[in-house]
Amino acid sequence: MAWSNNETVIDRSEESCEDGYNNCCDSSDVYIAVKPRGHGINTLAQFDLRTAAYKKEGNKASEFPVDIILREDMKIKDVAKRHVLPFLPAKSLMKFRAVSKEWNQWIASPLFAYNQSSTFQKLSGYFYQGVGIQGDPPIFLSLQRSTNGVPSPSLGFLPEKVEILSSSSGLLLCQGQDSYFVCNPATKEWKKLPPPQYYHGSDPAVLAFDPEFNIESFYHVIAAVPLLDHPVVCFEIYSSESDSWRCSPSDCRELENKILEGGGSYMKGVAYWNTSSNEVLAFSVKNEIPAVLHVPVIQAEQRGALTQIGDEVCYVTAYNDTGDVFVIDIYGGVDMSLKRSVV
Amino acid sequence: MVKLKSNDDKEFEVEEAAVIQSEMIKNMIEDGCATSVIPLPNIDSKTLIKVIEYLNKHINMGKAAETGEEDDLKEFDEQFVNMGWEELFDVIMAANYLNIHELMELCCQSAADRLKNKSVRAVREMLKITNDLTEEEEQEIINDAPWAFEGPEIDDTVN
Repeated sequence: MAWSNNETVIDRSEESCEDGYNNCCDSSDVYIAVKPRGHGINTLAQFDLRTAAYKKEGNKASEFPVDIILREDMKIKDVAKRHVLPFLPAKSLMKFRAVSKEWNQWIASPLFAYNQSSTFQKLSGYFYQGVGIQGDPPIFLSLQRSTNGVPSPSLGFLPEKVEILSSSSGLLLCQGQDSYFVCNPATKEWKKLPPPQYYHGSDPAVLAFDPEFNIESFYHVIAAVPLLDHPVVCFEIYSSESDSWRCSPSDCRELENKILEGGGSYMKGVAYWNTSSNEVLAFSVKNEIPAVLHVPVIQAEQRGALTQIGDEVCYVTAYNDTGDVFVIDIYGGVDMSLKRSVV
Repeated sequence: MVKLKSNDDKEFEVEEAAVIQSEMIKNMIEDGCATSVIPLPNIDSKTLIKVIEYLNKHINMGKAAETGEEDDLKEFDEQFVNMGWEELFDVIMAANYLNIHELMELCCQSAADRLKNKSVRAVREMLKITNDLTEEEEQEIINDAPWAFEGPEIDDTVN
C-alpha cells in the first residue's frame, strides 16, 4: 500500500492569478525521473542500481555504493550525494548531473527520484494560463530563476494544446481536446489517459500524487461528476496503477448547490472543489469518503480560494476595499474563522 | 550525565535527555555500552561543541510547541547554520555519524541552499569530486537539458 495515511488537509496551491485567468497551478518542484505512467514498478525492478552504477569501479573499497559504506567511513562527497542532493530542486539537479559519472547515474535513478520527491517540499513557481484550451499557452513563473525552472513552460512537448487543470507534487493534469494528459514539466514525460466513462464537463478533475511512501510513483485523477437532473455528485477515479477509470461506490448528496466552479485542488489526501456558493466539496481519496465543507460567505466582487498555509488548510479572499487599498483575509481552523487580515 | 570524548581527547558532559537525540548514542545507552566515556574518534572538539550546543537547545523540542517557543527555536536554527562551508560539512559528517536526524536535515537543507546556484565546476571543488566524465559525456548531459545550464545567476565561486 503506497499511499500516505496522513489525512490532514493541506496543499500548496495558491491564488496568485490575476482576474481573467483561472488556471494557476503550483509546481512544487518537478521531480526528475518520476515517471507519470502506469507501470513504474517495472522500471524500478529492471533497474539494478548497484550493478548499473558501479560495475566499472572494480572492487576498491572506497568506491563501494554509499549504502554499504559504514557511517564512519563516509566521505564528504558520499554524504553530500546521499543526503544533500534530495534537498535540491529539479533544475539544479539536471545541472549537477554533469558533476561526475556517479552523480549522473545517481540523479537519474528511480531510487533517487523517490528520495528527492519525498524530501524536496518547497514551491518552485506557478503555472499560469488564460481561460480555455484556445487561450494562450501556459507560462511558468519561477520563484528563483537560477534554480527553479522547466524546459518548456508552454508544455509544447504535448501533442496538442492543453489547459492546465491541476497540479500535485510536481506533476500536472491537463485537458486536451478530448482527453486528459498527465505530464512532468521538468522531464517532459507525459501520458495520455484513457477516456472516462462519464461525461466530465469542464474542469472537474483533480490530480492526486503523493510521492511519499509511493516508490512506484502511482497517481490518481479524481473527477467530480454532477449527475444531470439529480442532486447527486458521483466520483470517477483514474488510477495509474491499473491505467483505467472506475466509479467510486460513494457519492455525495449533501451539496445544495452542485455547480462546481474554477477547478479543484488536492491537498494531502483530500481533493477539493469550489462551488458557486460557500460550499466546498471534499473527497478523501484513500477512503473514498465525500464531505461538504462551508467557507465564509464573501461578497460578490470578492474572490476566494482554498490554500495551504503552513500545515493548515485556509480559505483566502482578496478584495479591493477602497481606492487602492486591497485586503487579503485568511480564514482557517475547524470553524474557518478569520485568522488574519492583511491590508 | 553522559561523557563524550572528541578525537583530540577533550571530554564533554552532556545531559542524557539531550544526547539521546543521537540515535547512535541512544542505542549505546540502551544496550548498556555507555557506562563511562563514549569516544568519538572522528569528531573534533570544535565540531562536537557545535553539536552539543544544538542538542542542548533542542532538548525540549516537544515542549517548545506548547509554550510557543517555536520561533525562538527557528531563529536559533537559522543562526546555527550560519557558518563556513567546511565547518558546516564537519557538522553534517558528525550528525550523520551520530545519527541525529533533525540536525542532519537542518544542515543538509542549508548545504543544498548554498549549492543550488553553483556552477558544476564550483560544486566539484566544494565537495572534492574529481570529474571522471569525458568531454563528450559532459556535453551530452548538457545537450540533454540545456535549460538547466542557462542563466546569468549561476555562481562560480566556491564558498
